[in-house]
Amino acid sequence: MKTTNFIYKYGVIIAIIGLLVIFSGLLPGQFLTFDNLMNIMTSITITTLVAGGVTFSLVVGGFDLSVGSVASLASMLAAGMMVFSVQPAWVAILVPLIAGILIGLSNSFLSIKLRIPDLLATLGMMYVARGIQLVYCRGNQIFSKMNIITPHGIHQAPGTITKNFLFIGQGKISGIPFMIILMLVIIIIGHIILNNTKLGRLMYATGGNPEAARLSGIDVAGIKTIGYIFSGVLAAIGGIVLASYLGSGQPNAGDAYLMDAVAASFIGFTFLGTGIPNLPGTLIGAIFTGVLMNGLTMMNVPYTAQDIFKGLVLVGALALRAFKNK
Amino acid sequence: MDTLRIKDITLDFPGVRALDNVSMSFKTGEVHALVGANGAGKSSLFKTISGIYPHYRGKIYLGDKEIKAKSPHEMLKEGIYCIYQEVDTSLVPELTIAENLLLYEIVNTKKFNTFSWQTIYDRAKNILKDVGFEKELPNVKEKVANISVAQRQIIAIARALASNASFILFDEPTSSLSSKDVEKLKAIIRGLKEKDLGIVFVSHRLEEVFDISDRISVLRDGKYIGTKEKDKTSPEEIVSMMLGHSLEEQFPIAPHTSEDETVLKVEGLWYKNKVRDVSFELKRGEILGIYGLVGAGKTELLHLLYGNIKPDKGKIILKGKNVRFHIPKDAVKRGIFLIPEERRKQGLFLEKTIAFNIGIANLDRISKGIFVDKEREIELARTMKEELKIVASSVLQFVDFLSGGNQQKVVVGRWIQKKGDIYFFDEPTKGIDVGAKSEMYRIISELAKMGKSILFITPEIPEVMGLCDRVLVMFDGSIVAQMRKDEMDPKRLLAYATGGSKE
Repeated sequence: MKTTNFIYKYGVIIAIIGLLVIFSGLLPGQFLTFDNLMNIMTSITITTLVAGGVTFSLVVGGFDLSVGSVASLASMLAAGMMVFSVQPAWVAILVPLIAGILIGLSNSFLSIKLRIPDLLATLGMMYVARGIQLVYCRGNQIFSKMNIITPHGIHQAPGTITKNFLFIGQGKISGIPFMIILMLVIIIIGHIILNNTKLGRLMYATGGNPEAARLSGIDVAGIKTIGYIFSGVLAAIGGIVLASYLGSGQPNAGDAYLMDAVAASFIGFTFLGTGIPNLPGTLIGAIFTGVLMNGLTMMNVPYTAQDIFKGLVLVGALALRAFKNK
Repeated sequence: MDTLRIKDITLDFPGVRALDNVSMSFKTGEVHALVGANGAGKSSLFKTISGIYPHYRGKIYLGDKEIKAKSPHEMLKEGIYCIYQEVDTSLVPELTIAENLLLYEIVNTKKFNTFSWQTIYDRAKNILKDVGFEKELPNVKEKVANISVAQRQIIAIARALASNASFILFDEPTSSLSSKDVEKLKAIIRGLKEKDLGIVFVSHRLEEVFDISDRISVLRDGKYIGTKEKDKTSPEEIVSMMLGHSLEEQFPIAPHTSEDETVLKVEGLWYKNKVRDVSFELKRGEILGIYGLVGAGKTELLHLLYGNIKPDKGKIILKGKNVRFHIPKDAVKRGIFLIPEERRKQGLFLEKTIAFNIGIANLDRISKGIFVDKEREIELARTMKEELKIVASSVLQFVDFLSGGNQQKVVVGRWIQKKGDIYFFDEPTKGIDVGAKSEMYRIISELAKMGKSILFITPEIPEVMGLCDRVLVMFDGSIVAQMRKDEMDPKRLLAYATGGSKE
């Protein structure tokens, strides 16, 4: 009993340490370097932000599958605002955030007012968001000075992706990529909201037992809506960072983050034995996957095989949770 | 004659010893009742014998042979068959009666595709004929979803008989039955006894225990207290064995008087066909009972007043002002609090601590700005723990592991420190032990003494008589009678509640 509890509580941490030891042994002088560790953190930054969105939706008893598409849409809108509409960086940040809020509102409308099960409602919105994104960019990537083909001929896009904007995903502060700092700050703020504020209590109560929450005088619909808005906003931030990191908008580039984010959230459930969705756990979950993928890549395991490992990690996390609940 | 003996059974759960060295024996040809307050270990013992908790310590013998209760399937093979409180868990509602009767056979057959519908129906009819339940289940082609709970239990019993069980264990079989069906079940159980089966019968209701059982065993706090021949004991003796002390002063003695001020007035309230034209007034400091049988519309009435469902018609007047609540939050804001009927489902956040469960309704009190002050949260929970005598190692304990009575106190504790003056209690003593019951009565009467008004739903006549200043009797959605304390009389109450008498 005690050992299983211990494994459940600290399993992910032990696994991360284990991976670090194994990979540094197998890849001496290459794996455990500052640069590579920064690489790993950079690679999981967007995943963690998107996963934060999933976590918020899980906390309020929902499940947001639209986060990947929202990230895609947000990155396209950010790039498009600058390239097509010649807007400054702050507009390129604000517009995607508003899009995230709107999708969050739509998700909650579908699940609360129309009573569509969360998974299906957000699955629907996943397609809608992806569609809007593709229509907006006409299926093309968006980059500075790109050529735009119209019935009247080809002309050059008026705007460029600004330096200020590029700092988000490419800049560094004392050698540490800014996006990592941004992600950590957001996760910390999110954690404080969930753990130390009234809103957080209300969110966990709503997700924990909606009926009891309602009868305890909680506006369950309102709280769930807020949860979905957080989810949309975090996914949108992920998309903004993505656009800045790539320096362009790539169609559907955010979609791939969905499953990684879901995996990170569920691995996070087990963190410190809480058994409930929580942001530090989500971050740890993302780091675990990141370390694993990075190590495997350096060991020359083909990129194409990564999904197999990600899938196994997700299944393992879910199995651990089911085992604990037994 | 066969015996089922259990010896030195101990069952542990994390932090809790559910059974502590329990030994007793059951015989075929007798009905053996197993009673005890909530948390006494009845269900744990039942589930151990049925093979659900294979991690028990101790021994189980059938005759002279030791058997291991590793799984329900194993126990079934030994001829020990358990019928659970929720009989539905062992039936498939979308299948027919016949399929459900033959379920094990169909599932366990090695052959494929060898059952024709006709064989299934014929076999099912034969089984029912053999065990004598043809009349109860005339149409084996009927889907289980469409039949009554009592009929479902009969399917489970028929299965037991068809599988040549020698012992049948029932876990609170009457808890979801109407009184007519209870009589039927009692008759069936007597019939099983005639057939020389051993019946073990877990129950809360002493009245039926004394009606059908031959021997009565009592558990308390996971320990075996004793076994009595029914003819040589009395309900009073059994209750005192359950309690560990005699049952006096169950209800607070000091009567209190309510004032004339009306705090809540209801006029012509309608909701579907569940609540029909209900009007009444609730006074300050009054304990107003709402008595009625299952399905009389009592719970719906409370939820209408609490804003959880919306009335089709009618007025709710709170302290002279017409109010309309859209969600319960609106009612809470106006100082109306509900202690719902199903505490685990509707009252508690099971995966959370006592402190969370109490704090969640008092966030403004325990917060500074937007931040929750965890010290104040714990402080508040500690105060409630002391005041309501919640038994727990600390307020950081998860409520899932508390006993029913303590869980109920946590739900009540959520509301005590709030500014409010109307409390709705929906069967607050349902499924909690006798000790916790009398504490619940104390809490309710103290609230009333403080000038709070209480609407108290109960299906128990002694609670009405012992606690309420006044009672409304509901039948079929309407209030059919109203009695002051001095007018209350068990027979009249029951007559009105069963629709037997109209004024």
